[in-house]
Amino acid sequence: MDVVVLSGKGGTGKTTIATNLSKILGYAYVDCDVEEPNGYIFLKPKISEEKEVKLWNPTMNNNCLLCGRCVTACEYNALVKVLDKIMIFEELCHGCGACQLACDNEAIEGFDRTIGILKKNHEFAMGQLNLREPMGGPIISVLKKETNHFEHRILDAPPGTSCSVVKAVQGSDYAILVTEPTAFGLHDLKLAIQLIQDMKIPFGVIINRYESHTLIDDYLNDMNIPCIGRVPFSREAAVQYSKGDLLIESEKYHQVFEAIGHQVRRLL
Amino acid sequence: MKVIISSQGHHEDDLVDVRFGRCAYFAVWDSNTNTFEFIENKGKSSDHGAGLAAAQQVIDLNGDALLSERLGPKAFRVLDQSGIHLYKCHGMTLRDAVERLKTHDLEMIKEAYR
Repeated sequence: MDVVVLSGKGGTGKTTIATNLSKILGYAYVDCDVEEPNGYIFLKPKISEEKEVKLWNPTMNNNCLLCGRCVTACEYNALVKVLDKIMIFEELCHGCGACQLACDNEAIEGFDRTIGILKKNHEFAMGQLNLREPMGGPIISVLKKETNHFEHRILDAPPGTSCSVVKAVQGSDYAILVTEPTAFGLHDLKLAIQLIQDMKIPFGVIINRYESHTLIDDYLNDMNIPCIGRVPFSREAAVQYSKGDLLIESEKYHQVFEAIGHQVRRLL
Repeated sequence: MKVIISSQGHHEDDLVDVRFGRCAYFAVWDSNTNTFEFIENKGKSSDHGAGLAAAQQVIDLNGDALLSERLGPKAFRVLDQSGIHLYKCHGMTLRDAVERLKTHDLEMIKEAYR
């Protein structure tokens, strides 16, 4: 069973929800926010396995006749034909291999380029993209495949609604959309809802930093979307977070997350 | 001589587009006929690598010079090696740009815009 936690807007508390909930439910935690994974700060796992994640990139050999078929085939504009050579822009290459298929002269070879690292143990996994690398998708795919044997997973998605979020969300059984009671929070929540509805995944919303009735409540009521939890705003939570402690270490928040966990179990 | 210009529109009195990779059109001026032809920029609709798609299009047009304002690092790397002369224009119409090129009144682009 996979539960993905996403948000649209960054900084709403995805990781806070995902880490605490993984403990409450006893699910494995998988950090798909490979550009800035931070779940490990709160869960403090002992890593037992590390491996490099590689992406195939093309190289040209001497067979190249400069026909330019590979350039046309590349959906990502990673290849450019200039005078007497094909220039390759690795940072744009998605490693799909279309250039190699398009080439009639076996002029395209390739090599596997390390783009990041994967760390895991029996109940925790995270991907980490190397500096300067622009594309998290391939790491997320490997990360999900390598943790496929975990019976239950909480997938902590990257912020936004981009390709890497889609990669993290794909195939999940349930989605938790985390938001905050601000106009920005609502704006980006709407985008995330659109994405998750397009992907036809059942979902519920958690309002983080909750004080009293908010604009998010109004919206969810109007749209008939279930709110599966409200995490109260408090100085205490901020202090716990700043120390890298899980919120469930406090009695009050333990109860909040127990209730959310109960809801999630009921919905799965 | 064939001159390519990043353009905001498709008339000779439209302005040179500051952006290269995502400019609306490429104007192609032919010195023999003194006329402009307009081509849509393929890079404009690219999700990724708009500058490179545009650069490839410019190279394939086989021009002698490119007039634009800002070239990104990837587009510059490609165009710098393509043998096309790169000239900088700022806030002028296509017709003005060509006139200034004729009188050697344009600065060359020697590095990528940052």
